[in-house]
Amino acid sequence: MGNSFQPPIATGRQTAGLPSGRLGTWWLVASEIVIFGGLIASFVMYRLRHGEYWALQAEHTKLYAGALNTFILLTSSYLVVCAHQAAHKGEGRKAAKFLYQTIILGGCFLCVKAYEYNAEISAGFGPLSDLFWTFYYTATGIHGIHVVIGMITMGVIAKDASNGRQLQRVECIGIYWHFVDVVWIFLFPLFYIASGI
Amino acid sequence: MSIQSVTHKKMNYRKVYQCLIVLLVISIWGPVYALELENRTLSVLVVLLTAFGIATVKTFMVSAWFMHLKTEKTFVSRLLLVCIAFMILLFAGVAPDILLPEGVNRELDQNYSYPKEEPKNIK
Repeated sequence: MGNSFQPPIATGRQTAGLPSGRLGTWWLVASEIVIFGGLIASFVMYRLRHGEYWALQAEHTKLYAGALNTFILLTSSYLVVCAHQAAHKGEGRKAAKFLYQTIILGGCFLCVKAYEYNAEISAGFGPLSDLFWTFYYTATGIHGIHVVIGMITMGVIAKDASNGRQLQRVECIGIYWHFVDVVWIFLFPLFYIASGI
Repeated sequence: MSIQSVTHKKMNYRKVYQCLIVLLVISIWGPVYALELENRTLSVLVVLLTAFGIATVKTFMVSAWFMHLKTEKTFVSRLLLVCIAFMILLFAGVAPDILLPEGVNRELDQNYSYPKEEPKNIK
């Protein structure tokens, strides 16, 4: 056996009828379902237990900011799927352009979130002020970290895509980004618009 | 391009996006409208339908068309469903402890009172 380096074996291998990269992304999404799902399920349990009191707490979240962030993430999801479409046609530069636009929207999302955190903490609703707010900061914080990770990964992929390299990665980051969007779709009604019940 | 990407034939992403935005508007308007209803049961029903019902529809749309689950291998859908099923199982296992007020060693719960004062403005 020689000591020479070998290219990764999984790159060209298919498992379960899927390219390895996409299969890996789906496994990642599956594990994230358990993380976010557990968090959301726990929140729902306590929300049912502390109904009216938590409804009062939920009234202090900023509906317009949450709605704006939902709009931003839905738009970014649309741009990512456009990037995927462009990559599918082999148009790397176009795909990279869409990905960069998505990164900008991800930045906008984080800015709105930072504004919200600032306003809420200033009003006395910090992460330790009540169990509702602990859930709020944990769930939105973990989600925010996922947005940051997605933006960084997207930047690396966009750089390669603009040179026409590794276009299959565009689809993988797309799946991840859509999942981040789906998580927010559930966090939005839970924290922002279900205060009436 | 050597990738095995999911087909994009006959998929109008712009229409899906427009539908998602319309659903977002309804999901905001519904609960606001529900607050004005006098019937409490109807109000809760409207909130549940417009907030969580529409969230479920939006999730379906994003996963089916944007994530291409509709055209993806069935293995993937099954993988995700198994994770969701385990999550529901864990929820069902723990929920009675949280949701039911009765039970052994629950005296502390009965004495628990919510804080009456709102958090102070520390600006």
